[in-house]
Parts: sequence; C-alpha cells; structure tokens
Amino acid sequence: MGEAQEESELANWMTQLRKGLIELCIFNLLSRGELYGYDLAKQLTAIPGLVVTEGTIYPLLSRLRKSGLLETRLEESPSGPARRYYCLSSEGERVLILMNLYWHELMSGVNHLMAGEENDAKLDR
Amino acid sequence: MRSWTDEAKRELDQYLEQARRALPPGEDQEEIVSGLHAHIVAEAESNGASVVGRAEVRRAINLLGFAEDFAPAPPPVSGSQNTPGWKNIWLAGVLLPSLAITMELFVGPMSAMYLDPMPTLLLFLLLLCVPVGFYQVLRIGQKAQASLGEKRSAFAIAGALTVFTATYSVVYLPTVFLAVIAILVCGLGFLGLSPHFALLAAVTASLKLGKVQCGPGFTRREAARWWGYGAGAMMLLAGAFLGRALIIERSIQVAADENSPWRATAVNALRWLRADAYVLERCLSQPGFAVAMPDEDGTGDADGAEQVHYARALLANRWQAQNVYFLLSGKSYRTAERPWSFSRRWEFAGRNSPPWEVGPVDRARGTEEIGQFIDGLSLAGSRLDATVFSAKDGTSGESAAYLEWILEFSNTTDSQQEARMLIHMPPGAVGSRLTLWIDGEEREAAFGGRDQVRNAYREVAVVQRRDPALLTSAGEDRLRLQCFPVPAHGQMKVKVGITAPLLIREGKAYLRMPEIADRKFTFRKGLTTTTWIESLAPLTTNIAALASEKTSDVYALRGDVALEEDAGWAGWAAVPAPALEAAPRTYGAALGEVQASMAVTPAVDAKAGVAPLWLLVDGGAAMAGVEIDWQAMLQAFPQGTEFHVYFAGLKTESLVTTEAAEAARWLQRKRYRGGYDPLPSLEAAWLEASVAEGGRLFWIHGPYPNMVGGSTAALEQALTRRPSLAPDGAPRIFDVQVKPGPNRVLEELGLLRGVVSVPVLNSVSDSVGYLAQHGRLEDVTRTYSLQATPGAEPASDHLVRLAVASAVDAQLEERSKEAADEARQLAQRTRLITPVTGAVVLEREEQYARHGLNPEENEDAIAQIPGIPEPEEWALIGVSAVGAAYFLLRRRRLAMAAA
Repeated sequence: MGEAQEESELANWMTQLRKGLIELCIFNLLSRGELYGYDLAKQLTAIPGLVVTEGTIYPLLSRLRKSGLLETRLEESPSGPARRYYCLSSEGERVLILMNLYWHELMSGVNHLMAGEENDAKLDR
Repeated sequence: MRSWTDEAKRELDQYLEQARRALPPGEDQEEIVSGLHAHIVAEAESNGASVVGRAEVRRAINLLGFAEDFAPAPPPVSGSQNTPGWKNIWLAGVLLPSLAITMELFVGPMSAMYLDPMPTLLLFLLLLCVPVGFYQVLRIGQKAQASLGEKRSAFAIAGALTVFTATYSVVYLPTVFLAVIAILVCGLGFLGLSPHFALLAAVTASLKLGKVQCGPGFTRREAARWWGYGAGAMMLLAGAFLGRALIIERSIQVAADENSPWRATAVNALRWLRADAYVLERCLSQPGFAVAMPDEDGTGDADGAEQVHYARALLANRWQAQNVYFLLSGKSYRTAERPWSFSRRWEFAGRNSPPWEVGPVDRARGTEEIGQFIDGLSLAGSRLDATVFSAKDGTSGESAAYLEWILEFSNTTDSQQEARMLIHMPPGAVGSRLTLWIDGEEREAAFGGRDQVRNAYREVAVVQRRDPALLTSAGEDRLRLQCFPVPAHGQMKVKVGITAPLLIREGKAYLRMPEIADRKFTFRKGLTTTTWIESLAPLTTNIAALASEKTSDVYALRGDVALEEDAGWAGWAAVPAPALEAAPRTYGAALGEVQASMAVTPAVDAKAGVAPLWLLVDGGAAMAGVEIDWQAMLQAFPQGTEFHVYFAGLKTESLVTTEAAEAARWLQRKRYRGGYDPLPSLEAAWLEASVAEGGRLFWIHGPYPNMVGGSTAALEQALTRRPSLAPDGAPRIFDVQVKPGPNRVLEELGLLRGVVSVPVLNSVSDSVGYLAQHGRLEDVTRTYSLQATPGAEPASDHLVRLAVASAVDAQLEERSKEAADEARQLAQRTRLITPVTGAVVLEREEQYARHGLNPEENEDAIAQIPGIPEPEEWALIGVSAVGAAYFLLRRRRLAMAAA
C-alpha cells in the first residue's frame, strides 16, 4: 500500500467516523439549552478534530427537526435576520440518552480493547 | 445592523441563491437558507467593522464552505437498499393483490367460495388497504432519511400487513393445490396464490425495514414495538371479523338443533351480536365452495346436512340459517327485506344478478316449497270478482259464493321464473277452476289425481320448460298455485276459481275474503286487488276500500284493496242470512250428472258443561301488534273453566288457573319476541288435553313459515293415538291464526282430521269468544247429500261442489284405498281441487295424453265450468230466485193450511 493510498484510506475512515459524531455533539450541545445555528456551528468547529464545515450543519439541523428530534423557534434579531433557535424535543432527549449510552459502551469497549493490545505489546516486550 | 456595501449584498444573495439551487428537493430550503443567511451576517459582522464589505462576506462564506459542498451527500448505499427485494415486494404486495381485488370486484370467485355472506363493503375496503399499505412501506423503506414518524408508521403497517395476509393465507390454504395445478396446466392461477405471496412480501418487507431503517435514532427494539402495535391492531380487527362470524356460525348450528339444551342461549347470543342481517344473508347465500362440491350422493345439491365440506364443522348450512332466522325475528327469511350488502353490488348497475349469471337461480323450481323471493319476479296485477248467491227475499239462499282471482305475474329478470304461492281460501272453501292464458287465449285445466297432475307439471315445467300451471291443495283451506314459465321480461296470467260456503252468524252470512298466505314474488309497488263483489242481496263489508253500489236489482261492493302484508286480513263481505227455522231448509242442485242437496238447520249450542281448556299462545314476534282482548275472550268461556295456559317462546311458560281474569292478566304481561318451535308445546298440551274429559286445545298463533322443529311425527302420533274428535264428532283442537301467512304445521299434518281452523272475523277475541259461548263456528248446521231431495229449493251448482268436497273429506277419513279412489274419481268428475286431486294446464294435447289426462273428459262437467255471471245473466238468476221464493211461500202456506 502506497503512502498516498494510506492517507486516502485514513481520511475516508476519519470522515466516516466524524459524520456520526457530529449528530452526537449537536445533541449534547443542545442538551444544555437552546442555541441558534451560528452559536452551534461555532461551538462545533471549536471541537478539535471534529473538522466541521459550518455550512453542512444547517441541512443537518433541518433534517433532525423534520425527524422530530429537534424543535425550533424563530426570534427576531434587532441587528440582522431572524434567528432560529434549536432545542431537543422530548424524543430527541430520549435519543440523546440512547446515543450517549451507546457511545460510552462503544468507547469503553474500544478503550478496553486498546488497553488489552497495549498490555499484550508490553508483555511481548 | 451595520451598513453593507452593495457588493457585499450581491455576494451574499448570489451565495444564498447557489445554496438554494444546490439543495435537493424535499429539504426545507427556506429553513436552511435562512440559517445560512443569519450565519453569514453574524460572521461578517463579527470583526466589529462599521461597514461590511465583500471581503467579509467572502471570508464568512469560506468558513461555511462552497454551496455545492453542503448539499447532503447521498446516503450510503447499504446492501439491503435498492436490491431486487423491494421489487419483489412491489410485485407480490402491490401489483398482485391489486389485480386479485379487481378480479374479485367484478367476478368474486374467492369471496363467493369462502366468505359469502361476509364480503361487506368494509371488508372490501380493508382488502384495498393491502396494496396501499405495501406501497407506503415501500415508499418509506426506500427513503434515505425517513422521519421518526414515518419509520414508526412503516413498521406498524408492516405488522398489520403480516397478520392480515397470514389470516388470508390460512383461509385460502386449500386453494394452493388447485392454483399450482392451474399454473402447471394452464399457466394461470397466480391470482389464487396472491394471499400467500402477499404474506411472503409482508415478512420480507418487515425484515428489510429492520435492516434499512433501524439505527441509533430508531433501535430494533423500538421498531419491533411498533410492528407489534400494527400486528395487534390487525389481530383485534381480524378477530372482530372472523371471531364474530365464527361465533355466529356456531350459534346458528346450535340454535337450529331442536334437541340442544343450549338452543335458547344460542338464539340469545345471536340477538346480542345483532346478527339478524348476517343470518338473513346466510339464509339466501351458501358459500359457493359448498355448492360446488358434490354431495355424498353425487347430486351436487348442497342443501341439507349431507354436503361434503371440509369446513362443515365451522359453517352452518342454509337450511339451519333459515330456521334460525325465524327463531330470531319471527319472520320468514323469504319475506324479510334483504339488507344491502357488498355481495349485491350488481344492483348499482340496476341488475338483480351478477353479469355472468343469466338471471337468479330458483333451486326449488317445480317443488312444493315456496322458496325465497326472486328479485324481479312480482305480482303486477290482481283482480277479484265474486258472486254471493242470494235468494230474491234478499237473503243468502244456499249460503255459497264463487270467487275468481286473476293474477298477473311479471318477470324482469333475464331468465324464465316460476311463480309459486299459497292462497288462504275462505273457511270450508274448495278450489274449482284454473285457467291459464296462453298466447292470449284462455286454456282450462285438466283435473286428475294429485300425483298425476304434479308429475305432468314437473315434467312439462322443469324438463320441457313449456307453459303449464298447477293448482293443488296445501292443507286445510289452502291452495298452492304454481305457474311456469313467467318468461324473461314478460308476463303470465292465471285465473283461480274458488267455491266458498258463507259463514252464518247472528243474522248475517259472511264471505271471508281469500288472502295470499305465502309467495315467492314481490308485489308491484302500490299494487291493489281490484275487487268487485255482486249479489242480489244487500252487501255490507268491513273493508274500508270497498264502496257499496246498487244498479237495478244487483248490489255490488267495488274498490281497490291494498295487497301489502296484513292489509285486508279478516276482511269480509256479508249479506243477510235466511231466517232460521226449526224445520230444515233444503236446497238442491245438479252439476252435470251429479246431483246434491243440502239441509240447513239451526245449530244447537254444545252442552254447556264446564270442561278444562288448554290455551297455547304463540310467544313470537308475529303476535306483536295484534290486539287481543284476552279478558273478553277468556270470560266468554263458562264460569269455573280450568285454564291451562302455555306461552310458547324460546322457552315455554305455563299457568293453570280457574280465574279467567288472572289468565288474561298473565297473558297481557307477556312480551312477544322472535319465533318459536310450536311442535313440542302442541304435543305436550294435546297429550294433557286429550286425557281430560271434554278437554279442548286452542292454538292461537301468527304465521309459522319454517318448520324449525324438523318433523311432525311425534305430534302426528299423539293426534292419531288420542283422536282429536270427541265421541260425538265434535272437534277438540282449534287453530286460530291471527295474521295471514303460511302454517307449516297444518300443511304437514295434511289429511289429519279434527283440527279445525277458526275463521277470524272482525277480531280474534270475538271469533274465539263466539266459539267459547256456542261451542260451534256458526249458527246453522249443514247436512250435504249427493242425492236429489224432492221439494228442495233450487240453488246454484256450487252447492254440488261443496257437497262433493264434504263427501270427499268424509271418504278420506275412512283411510282406505277404495274410499280414496272413489273420492278422487268424484272430485275429478266435478273438477275440484281436493287433497287427492289437482288441476293442471298444459300446452299441447300430447302432453295431456302422455300423463293420462284429458281436458275434454267429463263433457257434462266441462260444460259447466264455473264463472262469474255476466250482467245479462243476473236477470235469469233473478227470475229463478223469484221462482224459488214463490215455491217457498207456497210450501209455507200449505204447511200452515195443514196445521
């Protein structure tokens, strides 16, 4: 496998991994309180490694709202266009719990797996 | 808001427009674009500058990314989407069921085979939900980003479809073999397998939905829960349909079994389930599967209990349903108005049968059974002419009348039909004429032995399908008329002649009008019987529609009498009766070579002893609405009479008392409901009454159209072993029918003597009260003789007919073959319809010859076919009446001189 191909595989893997995580992050951010799109985008882009293109957040928010997981309200802004605030619906809150459970379970499993590999490596050494 | 340069604004608008175009349809463009707009504004103004220029906007846009980039990437194509699986589901779940339902709508083979009378409009709509449901599942299942609500509904629909198609698949399991054979042999038959294919499609769709639509936001457990909701709802719905149907079917079977201890419970269960309409449909249509299968005897006739049917244990047969409908409603299924059901959808197109059937099928053609109504066969015309014979002194003379009833049947179906009916004649009457119009020409009937004419009719009607009419006796005072064919979209016209004695009571001679007791045709809307009754004596009537007239010497009653159920019941016309004298008045007449006379003496009241009385009262719905003054009726019996009152409903209740008032109060409190089986109560009451000295039994009841009790053998035995005639010849069983209609018990008992029908004049309580007071039905006793009596007053030849009918009855009582042969010959010579003779009209002479019948036989009798006198004949009758009056006056004078 060449270096370029390795990089491509890695980039593809990272993209796939991030896609699901964006939703997890949105849900967790909104669990603290309602946010409007711009704030949400800023907070997501601030997460290291998540690499979010801000524009992709809006279609995602729209779809989550249509799925019934998010709710919105419009608020007129004195300094610009009306702001759309997003918050979790009751269904979204339930899904958030399930997602977090799944995430923790997955993470601990993966961590456990990785810790085992490190131990094995140490033992090998 | 800070100020924006024009370039900045243009840059922003351009970007938003690109974004709008880049977003795929289905996305909420405005929501996304407004979000981007707010984002760019916030970003561009975030540096605090007072003027926002193009550069700030570009920087904000660069952070957002190019518009094309944030158009959502197509969802990852998982292996389970867009696979041939969805196509198969479309074929088996949408296409095939749609074709099958369309086929069912127009042809109906499967619903007729399994589900009649279940194919209701609701069930059809439920069937339509199958392809629609599969379409929904397909639509949502193939969506990349289905909403939560859509996912839930898809799984719920899949669950419901699985249960629904599984139910149908089990029901249609027996057709798999036939369908596979059909596919292998003809390449056809896939539609028959559609329930099974649809089940496979439902299972596949459920599994695929699980693979495609489950994920972190919608777990498999949740999907299973929603699938369960749908399946559960469908189970409840299917349970409501099938469970109710199965409970009803079982209840019909139990209720039809006269020996079942659960009979009353089953009937009450059917009432609770409001199953009248279901049972009525079941009376009229048998699941086609049963009809198509041959019987054990190979006749293919599925009526009765012998049908070979794998589902026999589940489904009641039509005979059972017919009897149970009577128990439920108290009405015959034939006369009940059939509710509209999906299986009668052809009526939308103005048809009375499916397009591929040439008219409705009459299974009872040529038989004695009246059978069910044929939609489209109706009585279109009815005319009744009657002559009440009277003396010039304005009395009823020989107390006889002759009636001619012309009936015109109309058939709007596409096939030939047979018109069958029972005529309830006036009490003691005899059928004396049958005429059929063939090609506009009147053809008189040939008279012969009952079996002889019946066989001739059956062969000509059923086998040759030519033009015969048949008139036979159907129990006491009843005639059965059969005519075939009433041509498709044509008419048929017959005339029935009836000779009737008048009933003499309290100075009047009554002619009780004939009625239609049972029929297999409807009445044309608003049909009336155009009635014309004439006499030389003044006529009175209780029929409001008849107006009195007098022209020269002839009195007449004329008008149009409605023919609806119950209309005209107990209607009469009357003339003054002759004065009762101690010495008998004798009348004489001849009919061809047969001479007869009748002596009329005042009747003596039966001995005024106190004898126990058994009163069997019908507890069925047919009695409801009939006003009976029980108090007046029972108090007409002598003081101290012991009343044994039976009230026969689903269960028989009884009361024994010597207080008429107590018995009357007890009866007044009773509620009439449904139908009942009179045989056990009749038998039990008669067995008690027959051993009590002077015991009599009154059976007061409505029409009894169905033999729900099966056989009259036990009752017949009780009547034979304990004769119903007292030693002095007085009858001991009195039949009081309170409404017109059939009485299957009397029809079945046929020739048994001693059961006397009590004619109802005015009211039931009056009629029974008269009998209770006098112990007889009228004020005179008539003694007929088939010999001329010298000095007898001349009378019409109808006197001979009545004398012959009386002689035939007496001979049949002897119960010997010789007596029966003699009675048959006598009745045949005088052209009368009796229990042993009948009349038949055939089309051609060779048809008569083949059956040993000769319409030209008994020339002398034929020359005197009875008829209604023409106007000019009344003058002759008047002259002869004057002669008779002169003769009578002279005889009286001579008698006085001798004294």
